Amino acid sequence: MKFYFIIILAAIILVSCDGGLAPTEPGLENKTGFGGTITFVGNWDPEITQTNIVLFKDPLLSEADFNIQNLRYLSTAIPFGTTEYSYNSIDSILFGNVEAGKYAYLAVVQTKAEQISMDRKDWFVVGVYQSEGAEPGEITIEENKFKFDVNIVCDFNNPPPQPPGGE
Amino acid sequence: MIAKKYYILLFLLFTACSIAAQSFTITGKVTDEKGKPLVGANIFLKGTVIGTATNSKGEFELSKLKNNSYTLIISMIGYEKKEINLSFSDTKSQHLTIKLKKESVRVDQVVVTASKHKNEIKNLPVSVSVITSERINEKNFVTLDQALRYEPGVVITKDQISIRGSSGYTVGAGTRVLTAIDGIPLYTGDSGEIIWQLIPPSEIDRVEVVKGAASSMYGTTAMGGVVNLISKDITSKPLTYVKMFAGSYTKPSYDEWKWSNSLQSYYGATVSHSRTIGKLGITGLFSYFQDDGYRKNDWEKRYSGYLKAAYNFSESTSLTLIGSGYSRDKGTFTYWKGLNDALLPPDNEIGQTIPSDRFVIGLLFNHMFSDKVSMLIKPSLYNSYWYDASESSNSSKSNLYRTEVQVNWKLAEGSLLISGIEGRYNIVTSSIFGDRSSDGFGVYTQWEYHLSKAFLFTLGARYDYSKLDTLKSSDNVSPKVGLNYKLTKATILRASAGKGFRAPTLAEAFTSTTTSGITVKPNPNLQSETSYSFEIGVNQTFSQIFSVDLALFDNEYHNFIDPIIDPDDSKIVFENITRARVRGLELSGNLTLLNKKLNLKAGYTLLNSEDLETGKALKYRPQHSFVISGDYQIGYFSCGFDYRYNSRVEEIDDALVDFGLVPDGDERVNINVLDLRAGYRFMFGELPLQLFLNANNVLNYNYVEMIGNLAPIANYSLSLDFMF
Repeated sequence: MKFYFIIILAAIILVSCDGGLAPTEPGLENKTGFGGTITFVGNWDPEITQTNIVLFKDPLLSEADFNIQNLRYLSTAIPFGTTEYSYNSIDSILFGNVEAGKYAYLAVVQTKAEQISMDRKDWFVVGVYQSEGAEPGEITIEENKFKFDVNIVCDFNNPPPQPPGGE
Repeated sequence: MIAKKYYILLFLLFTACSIAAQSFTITGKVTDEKGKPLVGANIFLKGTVIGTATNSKGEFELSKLKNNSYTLIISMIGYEKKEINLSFSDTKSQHLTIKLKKESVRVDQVVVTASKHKNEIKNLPVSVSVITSERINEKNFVTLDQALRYEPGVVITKDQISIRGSSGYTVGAGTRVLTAIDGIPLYTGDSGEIIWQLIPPSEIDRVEVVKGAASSMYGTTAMGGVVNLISKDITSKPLTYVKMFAGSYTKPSYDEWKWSNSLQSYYGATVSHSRTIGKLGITGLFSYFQDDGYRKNDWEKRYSGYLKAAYNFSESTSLTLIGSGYSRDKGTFTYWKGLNDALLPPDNEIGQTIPSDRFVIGLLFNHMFSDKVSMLIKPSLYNSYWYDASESSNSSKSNLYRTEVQVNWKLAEGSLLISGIEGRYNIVTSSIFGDRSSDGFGVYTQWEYHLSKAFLFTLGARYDYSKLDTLKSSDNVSPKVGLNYKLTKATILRASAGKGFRAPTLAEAFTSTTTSGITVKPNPNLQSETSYSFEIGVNQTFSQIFSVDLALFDNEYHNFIDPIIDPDDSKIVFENITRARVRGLELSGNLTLLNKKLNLKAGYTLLNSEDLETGKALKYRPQHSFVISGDYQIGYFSCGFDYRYNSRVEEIDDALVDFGLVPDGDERVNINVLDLRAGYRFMFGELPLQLFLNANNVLNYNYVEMIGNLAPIANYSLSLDFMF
């Protein structure tokens, strides 16, 4: 009899509980996109004016490939001095809708220019996404599937190879 | 002839010294009814300040006693108190074997907080509850605010305590509940907040919670009640205690909230040693705690130390020193980034930290002039330093000095007068509060008089003077009257009415800073707040296995201090709200079943709070709160559960949401938290070991206590402790 009381109580508690708070738009896992964490190692250059995540469809084989038609995603600006920055291509979006497909170059870039432009000389790469078994920067996005853990480490003391056209 | 007299005199002196040096020893062992040793049982000599506690084998020793007769009082929470009369006629030592009976319903627990002397709960005119060290250990509470969440009438919002709706939540601002260790207050000199991490839970024997205004005895900050942490006694024989624990948070409920590929963990270790050498007893503790945090940048690393030393000058005079401190480094997490990123802080807080170093040190000088008059002197210092290692670079250092002299005078049988005087001086050097100082003093007296064996009448008052830097000085008289009437042996009625008061803290009056996009400005015209509180209650014991307690309360607040956003400049400022009212009822009960193997404890609180200016509820006060705990013990195995429910708070800091300072800040739900635990006590050779597994928030229910702050997600921990 006494145990029934406890069992009933436990049942009431379990039934009365939904999960509580939930994201306003649940189901990110079913959306086309990607996200992860950018980690910065070392001291920020005080002259940096802007830092962004960029995604290019085709490889940056020449200075001309660094153009607006090739750019498919540009993140919101990463705050100066940050050591870690979480992003996803759905919320942290300044430009471009990511569609399913294979992309050639995902990277973190910085500029010291006062005005933002698509002039290749204004930008330098501080981190490149690397997935196992793929070329540096390469990423494949599947339809209606969110790719988690797309993490990039930006080591200011050990920058990655720069695409052509930079200074 | 002269030489002969000299020898006679020497002989007499020698004889006198021999008689004076004669001393007695009491040793013994305390067990439960089945002969199981009871660890930590208190043994006191009635009418003296001499006492000790049992060691890991349930043994104790009281030596170098001068008198040849004593009354020994043996007590332990959860067991019936026992008194034994002893006399030494032709022997110098006595060995006792004492068996304590388990209490079914705990109405005759002895507490010290409500009236500043030892008194049984059933004799008090106010509501008091007790949390035992056994429960603190079983639940592996890392800080004591976690334990208070399960007390009826108590609501903890993030780390700020509210008793019966006395407080809401304000970052870094003062409390309306006085928290103390052995009566030494534990609030910081600058912000007046309680730092729960300062006191190691393993050194606390019990937590006494006095509900309702206690300013008539304790002055400012006790407007909503008192939480007194009673430290464990120093053991007579050497005792080393070791505790280790480790735990892990589960995955967040939603992938959107996932911010790390690995599970976040927390762990800690505590080592303490207690012993008595001659007249000096000493307990020292060192502990380390590390928490990765279930939220990003919400990690913590903390080193803590604790020291208690007691010296018994004689049977009537003792001096006790208590010191506790920590050095901590902690990540910054003020509010979430948004509900879609509930476990992330805003980007600018990533990598930011708030290191802090704090300690409190106090002395308790106890002297009994006679069986009727005793005195307690309590000087203390609370030193606090913190630094916000972010862009704001705010820092604050404060030293709060206090001294209290208390005299208890037994006027006649059934008539006791408790009087005291207290002074404080506080000095602060801070980038956000400025270089400030404050001082004040209080004088109090309370008379307890037994009109009959069943009828206790209490009358008291306290005068307080307070001066806060450049603010106009203020004074206040807080009277209180209380009645306790034992209608029958099983029915106890109580009633009390009193006035409470709280002076604003330096933080509330002088904060001037901008952090995380929120700007706070000073208010040099802030005044003290006052309250009138009323309570009637009844405690009914239906049988040895079932008791209930009902209390109705009404608290009327004047000049209530609350933060508002100034519509002219969108800055936060502390203002005096003209009037506020908190009314409600509290119903709690204890039930013991299955031959005392199963204990159930439950409590429900109905709270109606109202800002009488606007007609709205006060912020962060849930209207309905319900807690229930169950413990089942069979042999060396025990298990239990705790469930707590708070209804969704009606009012929050709307302005923080409206001005966009806390994204999705209005997202809040009812609170439903279920915890489970299991324990096993066993002997490993000569070593008594205890192993506890705790599963907290097992339903992984997502809720906030404070807006924009997701409460801890499901986590599991394993703890092991032993003593030798």
